[in-house]
Amino acid sequence: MHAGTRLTRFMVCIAVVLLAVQSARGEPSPLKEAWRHYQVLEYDQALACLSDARRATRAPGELAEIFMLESFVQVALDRPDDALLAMRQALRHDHAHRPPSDISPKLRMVFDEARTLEESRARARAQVHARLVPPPAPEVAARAVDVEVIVEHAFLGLTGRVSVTDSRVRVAMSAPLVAQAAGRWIAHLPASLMVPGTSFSITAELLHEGEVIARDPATPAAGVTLVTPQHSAALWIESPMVGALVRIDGVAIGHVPFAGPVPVAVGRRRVEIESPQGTVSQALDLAAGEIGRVVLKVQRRARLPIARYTLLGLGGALLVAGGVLIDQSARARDQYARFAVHDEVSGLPTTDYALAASAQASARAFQIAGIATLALGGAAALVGAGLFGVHTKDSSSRAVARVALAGDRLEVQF
Amino acid sequence: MLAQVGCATDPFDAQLGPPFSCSDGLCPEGYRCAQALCVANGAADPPLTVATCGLEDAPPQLFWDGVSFSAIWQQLGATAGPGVYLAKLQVGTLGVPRQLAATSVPVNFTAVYEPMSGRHVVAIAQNDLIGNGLRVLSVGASDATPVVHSARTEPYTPLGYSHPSLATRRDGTVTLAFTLGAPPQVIADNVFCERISLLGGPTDTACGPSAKNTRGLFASEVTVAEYPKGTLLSWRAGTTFLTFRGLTGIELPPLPLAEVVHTEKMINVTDVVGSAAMIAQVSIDRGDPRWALALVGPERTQRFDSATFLSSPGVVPDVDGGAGAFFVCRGDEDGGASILRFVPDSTTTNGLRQEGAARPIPRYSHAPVERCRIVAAPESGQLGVLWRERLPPATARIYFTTMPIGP
Repeated sequence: MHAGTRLTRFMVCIAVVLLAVQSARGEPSPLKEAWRHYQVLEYDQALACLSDARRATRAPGELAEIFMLESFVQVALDRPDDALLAMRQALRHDHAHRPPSDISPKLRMVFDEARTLEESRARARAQVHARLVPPPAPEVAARAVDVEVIVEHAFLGLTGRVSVTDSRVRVAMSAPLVAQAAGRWIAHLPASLMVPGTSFSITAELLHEGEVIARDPATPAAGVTLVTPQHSAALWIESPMVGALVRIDGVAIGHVPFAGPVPVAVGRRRVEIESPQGTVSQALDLAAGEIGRVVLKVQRRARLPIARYTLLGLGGALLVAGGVLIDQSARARDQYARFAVHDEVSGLPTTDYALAASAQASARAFQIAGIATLALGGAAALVGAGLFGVHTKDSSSRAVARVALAGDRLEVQF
Repeated sequence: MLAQVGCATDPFDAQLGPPFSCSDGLCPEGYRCAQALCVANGAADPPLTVATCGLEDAPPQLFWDGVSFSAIWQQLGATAGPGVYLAKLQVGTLGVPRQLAATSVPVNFTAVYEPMSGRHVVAIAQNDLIGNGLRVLSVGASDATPVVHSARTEPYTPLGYSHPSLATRRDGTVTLAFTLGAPPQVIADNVFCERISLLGGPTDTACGPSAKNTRGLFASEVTVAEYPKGTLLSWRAGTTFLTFRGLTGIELPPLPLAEVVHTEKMINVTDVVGSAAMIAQVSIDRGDPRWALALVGPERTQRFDSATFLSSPGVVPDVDGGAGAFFVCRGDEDGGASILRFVPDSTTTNGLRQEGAARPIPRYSHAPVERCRIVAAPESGQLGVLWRERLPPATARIYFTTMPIGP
């Protein structure tokens, strides 16, 4: 035989022997001793005996009698609150327990009040109901999840919690339920708990005075399952340019529009959209649990060609106009020179300068206007040509218009 | 095109002459308006333009009155009316022309400035089919209208009055010499001379050769020069003769100048050499006439084979004396004109020696010079030069300029 078993049997025998000895001596029980002290008005001794008696028994009927006697003592000591509390404890252990019929009216009134309160408590606890709302599957892992529980007939003193169990790794935790609105209680599951690729079993419990009085589902084995995704970040890509090809880190992922967020790895990601109007790209950093919102608009590329070709066209037109003006200037100068006619015999001029002055003024005006026009045209053409060179760099570097968090999402708008 | 832009230089070259005329004073940058011509800044002023007239108009005359130069010319196309005009000439400025006589047809005129009276004297010969006329008039600076000293008319003759010749003794008188007519109306002794007093005295006609000396010859031209002791006349009647008539009536026999075919001008140079300087066309040994400058006088031998011959193509030369020298304006081969300076030199056979080289008259025009007048102004140290250029087909332009009198 095992040595431990023999020791246990030995201890039980000792206890039986001691009880037998005690009974043989005829010593009164603590409850009876308490009654004796109560009857001789030794109330403190009575309370001490009742305390010993509570520790000595677990029987509901006996505990009910102990608390009832304690209530009588408290009444005698003029402690009505303690008396009512003790009487309710008595009824809580044995709701059918009744005081002796010959008790004084004062004690009867305490009993009646306690009975009334306990009956109300029992009804409230019987009516309360909890319903766990299955949380939607999270879009990314590593981000907190709120679990909602609908609580009906809640009452003062009612508390709740959500128990989460990872059956795979045997990790469990409880998150308190906090009433958010009438009947709507929320438990916040932290992001650190949402490990990628984990399956959780969730159970909601309502407690009153430390006792679970409602549970959903009724048994923990039937708890609601929550599965976290394998990825910890995602990008929600939007663009008015339907059909544009989108690349992330150079890898084509599809065409606009996208039905939902695109899973991506945590870290710096470069998003690029390619459309007939041009190509823009932008790098952004994604942390674990973040869903970036990217709005891609290739507007600059649409404006740039217009400005480019407009400037080129304008510059070309001005250059042509300047050339025409310079040509006119030369013609006017020739005309001016033709004015200088000399007499064949004397060699003296036959033309008055006043007649040629207007031609000279015209020549100079044409020349100045021509030079100015050529300068403007050349500048416009150079700027226009320069825009061809700055197109790629410009469209990518200046595409970011706004990067911001929209709610709990990082929003990047080009 | 860019070359045109970059070559915004003035299209005119100052070396090419004035590019424009400038009637309103406006000229291109770098030029100024002078004499209605745009001349480059820094260049000399153009000659003074006196008048634009016709080739048929009588050649102009130039004078020095001790203060300023003046000119008399005929201008049938003048805006103030056809006539003979007088105007003072200053550097760059033409005085207001003053009409001395209205002449609607070409005339022959000659003129002198008489210093004692301070008057310009003009002798105008007008010959046409209506008749012949010769008038002498003078005008002073303060006269409102010219004073007519003589005016004679004759019926038509083929030659009419010759080109009149005027000289002054600088004593308030002028000496007029002329010939008249042609055979048969006038057949002989037609050399006339009269000394006209500008101060109101009587006219003296005893200055020409007497009939004894004209010998019944018919003269076609005469030129007069006053000599201190009398009047010197060169007249041509087949042969050119030089006659002298003293103030006392003494008359020397005519001296034939066999080589002279035309006497253009004689000037009194007695103060210098005691004789007259003559510009004449001479023909040596019946050769082609050539212009020559010679000193003539009663006391000199009249040989022209040793005269100073002048090359003056296309231009009738002129001569004046002053400051101990003679100045001749003659034509050049290139159509221009130049000034020659001569000084008396008793060591030479003709008594003259050229001093210095010919000095071209500065001109802007390249038109050929056809007439040239020169006047010495010793008081100012300058020579006045007046010339007329021919502008085909029938236009002529008169210019004036001054040059230093020195060599």
